[in-house]
Amino acid sequence: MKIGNVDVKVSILAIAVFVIFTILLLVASVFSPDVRSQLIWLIPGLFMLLIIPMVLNYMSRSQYADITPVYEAEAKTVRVKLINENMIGKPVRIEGVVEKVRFQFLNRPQYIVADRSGEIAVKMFTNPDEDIHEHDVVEVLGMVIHRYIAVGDPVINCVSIRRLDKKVVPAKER
Amino acid sequence: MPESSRSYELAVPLFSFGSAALAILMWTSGITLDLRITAAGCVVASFVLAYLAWIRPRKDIVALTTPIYAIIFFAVPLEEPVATIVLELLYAVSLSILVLRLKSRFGAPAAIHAEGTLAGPLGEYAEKVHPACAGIPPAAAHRAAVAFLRYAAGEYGDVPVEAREGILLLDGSDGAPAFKMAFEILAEQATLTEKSRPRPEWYTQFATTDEPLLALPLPPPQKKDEGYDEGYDAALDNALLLLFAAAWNASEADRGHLVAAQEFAQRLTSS
Repeated sequence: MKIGNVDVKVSILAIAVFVIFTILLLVASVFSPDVRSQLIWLIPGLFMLLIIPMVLNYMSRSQYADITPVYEAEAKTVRVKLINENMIGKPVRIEGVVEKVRFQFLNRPQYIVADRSGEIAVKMFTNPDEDIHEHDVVEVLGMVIHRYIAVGDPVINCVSIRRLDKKVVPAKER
Repeated sequence: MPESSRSYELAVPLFSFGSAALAILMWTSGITLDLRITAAGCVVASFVLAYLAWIRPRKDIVALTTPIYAIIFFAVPLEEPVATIVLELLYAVSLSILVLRLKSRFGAPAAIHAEGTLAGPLGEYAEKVHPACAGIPPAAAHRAAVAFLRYAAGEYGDVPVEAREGILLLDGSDGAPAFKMAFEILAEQATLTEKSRPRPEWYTQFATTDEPLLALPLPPPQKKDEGYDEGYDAALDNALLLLFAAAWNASEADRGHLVAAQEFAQRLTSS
């Protein structure tokens, strides 16, 4: 669903929660007159289960859209091998191949992006503008952060990930 | 892998299964002590596992949080002794799986080394370059340290200034020409990165006569697929490592700062 320039996506988890509670409400209202008398509150409450994730997604997507131009101007293009703990807090740009995609269905995707020098985890706290798949060649803009807030290896907190017009053949298919 | 780390890895199943075995022994022999005493082995094993996770460069949050689970599971007594024994056995199996997972997915522990020494290939390289560093003035070596550290921290705009200072200080010294070349390569590539310029067709690189002082072999001068020239990256990696070694050997005052960035330097040694 598009609101303004932002394409809002609700995660499958939020939809599943909505569906489960809808079924529970239907069953309860069939069997209990007490529940039926409260439907005036329960039905809007049920829809809030969808609306709240949508609003949060809209807010995060629009914030990411606002800060992307700042990163485009300030991020330096580096090889993955050069990203290290001393660069925590620095904006970077990397180009590489997506080797793994995780948690896309939760709207919190994590990618493993590799270039010729190494690989790094790229974490995103909202869904990207376009669907990214394994073996896509991508450009990542983001900030170097610790994996677990203050400890752990450096990873990229992704602000923007976009597919470049290239595709690679996976090694096993060559 | 350090011997102590291997002992800790063995300690995890030893303590956890040992505590379960002790619980079985106490139960079968009819000893009426609280079986939770034996669970202390599982708690100790969890702390050992958390320590093993902590000393690795990549942290495993699952292994790190096992002491919390151990306390939650074993703090409250279970009514049936069989339930306590089963819980201990399952917990011991889980911890053993987590040790294997830690070893396979989170790499080896960070190398523990004595104060003032470098571990692994980086230490061997610094040792190899040591004689050539005798002619480097300490002020130039300090500039090498600052340039390296600035580059490691992604402060590319400051690197050319430090590199030019280093080149001036090296002029007229007995230092090998490769050190001056390393400063020039670093300054050039840092400037290009800072200005977000594409890789140039022609760039500064080491001469073949410099090769004995370099950590990584110079790649053949030919482009790979899609015009990728690996000589450009190799020149930078070699320049950074040569400056690190020069600073390490000729500027002892900077060693504390260099140790903090040695993980980055270690990564550069792997081609």
